[in-house]
Amino acid sequence: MTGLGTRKELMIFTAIIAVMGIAALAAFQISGPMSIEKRFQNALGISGDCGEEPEGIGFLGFSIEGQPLLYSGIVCGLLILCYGAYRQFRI
Amino acid sequence: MAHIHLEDGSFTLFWVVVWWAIALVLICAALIWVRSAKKTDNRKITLAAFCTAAAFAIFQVSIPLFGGVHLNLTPLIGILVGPAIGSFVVLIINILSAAIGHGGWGMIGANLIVNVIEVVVAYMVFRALKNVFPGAFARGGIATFASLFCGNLAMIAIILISEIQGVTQSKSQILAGLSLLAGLNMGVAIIEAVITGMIITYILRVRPDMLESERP
Repeated sequence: MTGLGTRKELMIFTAIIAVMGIAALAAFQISGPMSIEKRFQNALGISGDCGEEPEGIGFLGFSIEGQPLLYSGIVCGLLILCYGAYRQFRI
Repeated sequence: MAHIHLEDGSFTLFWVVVWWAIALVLICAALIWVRSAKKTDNRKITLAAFCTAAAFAIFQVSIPLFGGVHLNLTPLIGILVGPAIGSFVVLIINILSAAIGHGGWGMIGANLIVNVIEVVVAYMVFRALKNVFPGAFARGGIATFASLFCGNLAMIAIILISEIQGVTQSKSQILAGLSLLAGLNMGVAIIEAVITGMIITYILRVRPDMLESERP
């Protein structure tokens, strides 16, 4: 069987999603909105700007962490590598 | 999803060396495992390359949820290419991420341990649940949850064990703070579980031979 699964399987999966969702919302209510780096700083009690990563370019709230130019270059390089591997070995 | 977002210098040199040494042992074990295989399927190289490109590209995208989180697709990597090649894939992703400024170089060892645990757990749980959950979607999703839960536990353990410099909190306060962080990470795991379940379902439908975890 390769499909979504039986009703029982999906119910168990949905129950896990519900539990995780409630846990995440509770954690969010307690800690408030902040970046992942800031969460680490708060959890450890590290003050100041240490741990902040360079601000990347963004669109609709989505942004790139790290250097956008390097990111683009590496993604292009990886895509070329994928094409080469596909030509050589297929899939 | 678990990734230690601390800059270089947060861990003392001793702990950087310790986590790097353990990570290198894991990579060596994966290398021996791959080399001991009688015949390596070359198509796996292509699949590993695709996994690296996709996971690296997604890993750097900050999603505007809970103030900014990101996915990392490590469970999908584990299910698709297996724990041995998956370990190399997460090593490359961590090195490239550090190269663009997402995570410190000294943190690669610790982050690699967390990611390898995620890859291995996802692969093992996906295989183990084959008879219990024949449907790929729920099985892939549950394997993802289990994998990311273990990854979060490993992340908390590594931070608690390491002597982090500049810390003003007690161990119990750090544990409480990191537990909240892990709780949020498990919320993000919902997105990752659904994505992984959908991709696995699709691949099993069109090319079941591509999945390492479905092989006998």
